[in-house]
Amino acid sequence: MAVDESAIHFLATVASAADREQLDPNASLGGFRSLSRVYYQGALTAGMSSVHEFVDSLAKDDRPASPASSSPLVNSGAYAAAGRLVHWWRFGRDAGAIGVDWATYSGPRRDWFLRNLSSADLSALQPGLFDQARRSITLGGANNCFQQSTAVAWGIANAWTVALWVRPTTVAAGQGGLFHLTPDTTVGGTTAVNQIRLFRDGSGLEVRITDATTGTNAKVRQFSSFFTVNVWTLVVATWNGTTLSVYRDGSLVVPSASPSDAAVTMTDAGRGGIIGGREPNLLGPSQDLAAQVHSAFVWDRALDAAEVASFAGFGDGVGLPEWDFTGQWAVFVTGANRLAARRVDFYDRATGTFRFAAGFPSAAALGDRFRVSLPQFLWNDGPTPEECAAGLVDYRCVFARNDSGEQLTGSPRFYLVALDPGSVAFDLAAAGTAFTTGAFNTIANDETAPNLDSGFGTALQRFRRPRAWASSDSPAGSLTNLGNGSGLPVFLRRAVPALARGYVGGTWLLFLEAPTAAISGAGPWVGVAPISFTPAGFTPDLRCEPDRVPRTFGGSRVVARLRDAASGIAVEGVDVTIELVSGPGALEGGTFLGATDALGETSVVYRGPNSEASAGATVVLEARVGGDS
Amino acid sequence: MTYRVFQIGQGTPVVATATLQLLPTGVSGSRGALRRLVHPDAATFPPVVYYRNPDRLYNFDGEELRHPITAAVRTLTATRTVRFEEETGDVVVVEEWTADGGLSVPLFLFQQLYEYLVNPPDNDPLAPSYILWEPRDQTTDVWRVELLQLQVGGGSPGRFSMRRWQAGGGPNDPRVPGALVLTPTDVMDVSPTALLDQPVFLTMRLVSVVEA
Repeated sequence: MAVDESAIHFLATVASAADREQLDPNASLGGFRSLSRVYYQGALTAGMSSVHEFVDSLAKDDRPASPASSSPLVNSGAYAAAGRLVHWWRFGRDAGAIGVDWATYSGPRRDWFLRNLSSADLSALQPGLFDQARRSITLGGANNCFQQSTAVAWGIANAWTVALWVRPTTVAAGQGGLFHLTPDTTVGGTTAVNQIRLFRDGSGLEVRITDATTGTNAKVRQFSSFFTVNVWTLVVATWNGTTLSVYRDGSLVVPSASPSDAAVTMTDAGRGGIIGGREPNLLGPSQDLAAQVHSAFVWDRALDAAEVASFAGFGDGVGLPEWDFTGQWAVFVTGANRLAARRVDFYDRATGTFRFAAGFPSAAALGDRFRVSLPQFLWNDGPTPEECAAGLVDYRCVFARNDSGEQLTGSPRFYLVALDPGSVAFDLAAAGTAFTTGAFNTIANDETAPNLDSGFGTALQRFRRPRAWASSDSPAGSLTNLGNGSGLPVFLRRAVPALARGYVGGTWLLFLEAPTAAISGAGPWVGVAPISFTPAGFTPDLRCEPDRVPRTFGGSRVVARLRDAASGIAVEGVDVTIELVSGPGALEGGTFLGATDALGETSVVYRGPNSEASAGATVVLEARVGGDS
Repeated sequence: MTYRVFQIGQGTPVVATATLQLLPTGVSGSRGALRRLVHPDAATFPPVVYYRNPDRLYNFDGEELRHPITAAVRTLTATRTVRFEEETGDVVVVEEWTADGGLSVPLFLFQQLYEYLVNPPDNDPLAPSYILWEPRDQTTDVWRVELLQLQVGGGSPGRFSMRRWQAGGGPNDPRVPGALVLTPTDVMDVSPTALLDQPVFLTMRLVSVVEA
């Protein structure tokens, strides 16, 4: 599907095929598990905030530990708790094999196959049925559906929710099955074909519930103009034992007609589920579904309106990520709440690193969708005073991406150039290595700091004497390969002891140069990001020692310390510049040692003139930290 | 190539200033001029101007005082005198700061001397370097010396009998506490930095006089 230019999409662009796979929501049977998690407000269940997260959780927590067969496409298992997602299907791709990922409730392995195709082995499914760009299965041929062949108890006798992401390719008159749940018992003398049935009728939707006792369609709801051709739509139907509710894109839809509204008794036994197919039954004369199905879900309880909205992502924030065959995937952000300033973050669960943060424009109409380009460098906003007090201050998180958001996958080379020497000891650390747990490792909706739980490279660079760097220059230990082989961020950290407030430093430029081979199809690119520091809360302590007064023919060691203004405790790891401002010109032998010893001192030897005539002369020394030289 | 330039912020420096006044040390060769030691590694060890000159000086008075090594040996028929002459390099000079008034030297002077003692010059046999000793109150000569010993209190050589006398019960920090650099107009009260109450001895071997 070409990106609808009339809409606005939030995009994340990947740089290479490898990245694409990593970010592809359907790249593996883990589905969105490998995808940057779409993160927005609202909870489907406690702790869950999106279908992706939900499914991730499902995949992580509830999924059977090992597939029942060697095929990666087959899986089964039991779920411990009721009220959960009991079935789900995602039509994706697994390591090159096209198939479907699903899970079933309380039963042994259940074979699913594509009816009327060549093989019951799902690994033989025809690739053409799967839309690689849209990561969906196309169901449109004769009797074309996705069916579970063996009866299984679904646990949904009293309540259920069915949801599907569907994109009809036609809304012509006719009926095409969306989802059927079929009992295999005979009731009322009639083989009850369908207990739950959702089908497309032209551009409308019809939902039926068949009573297990009478075999008749007890509940029927019709919704006209429900579908739009070539538009992804989330269809959700819920049944709580009393009320049948239908939602489109997360919003409750009032039926245009309710031809039947009798009481309903359902059984749990079923032949299985069918996605797609024809109406009124598989062998009926009516039309095929003629749609793409991205995924389908069944819960054994009725989700409430808020949950459905959240599931859809249309309540508070983003929708389902959609793959675009141009190499991007988009997230539709809709809903009234997105009009407020809001951040959308993509958190890569696999690496725990990147964050694509964007605020939404304020001037937007309801239903608009947003496209935001990713910044080249993503910097945090700097520490708060509390963060300074905690001993971890002033870090910058650098994401190596170009203007198009292509993530750098090679080993970038960072260069530091001091515009002014300042006097800052730098810690240039690979992300995550030098940080402590705490607030910085917690993701919240407005959290600016990336999650640092994942392991990163362990390269740690420490520079005591800021100086200008040439492009070929590197300090001991090298600036390169700071664990950035997969585009992980690099952190510049300026550590200050816990008792110090504020931070001191100079003015720097950070250059990032990417190796030419880093991004397929892209040349080297350079980014410059600011690092600025303002010293605050420090007091340089300047004195001569041990002899407290310099003399002619003598010398003194001038010692400067940077002390926290409040506590008086010396700050370590900071270089202080000591200079002779005025005085006898015989600063003979005066040397800037430039070392910061364990006591956090900087010292310089001042030698007085070897002339008694200089007795009584005034010497002015200055200790300076940070700022303009 | 794509890039993006960001505005660079400028830091504001934090500055501390100290204003000092050079104190006199006296004219070399004149009475009352302060002696000093000069380390060859001038970048690391500033010259030490004695806060006050030693009270006693052994084997030196304006110049080295050599003493012959003599012995009276009785032979079968007579008593003979054996005499060996000392060279300059055999002379060992001792400077003593007495504690006649109960206190001898400020601690920082001891620290300066100690630093020189434990940091001898690197001695390249082909180009040896020496600490320079300038007894400026007695002569304008400058002597190359090798420090042999530093001692606080009597008794065994090389022993430091330390006790500090400080004012105000300040922190027991061997370094000079506080944050001020005094000017000569301030009262030169060394008690905050501690005073020693035992005599201090600095022993050195004369090597040679530096030619003028």
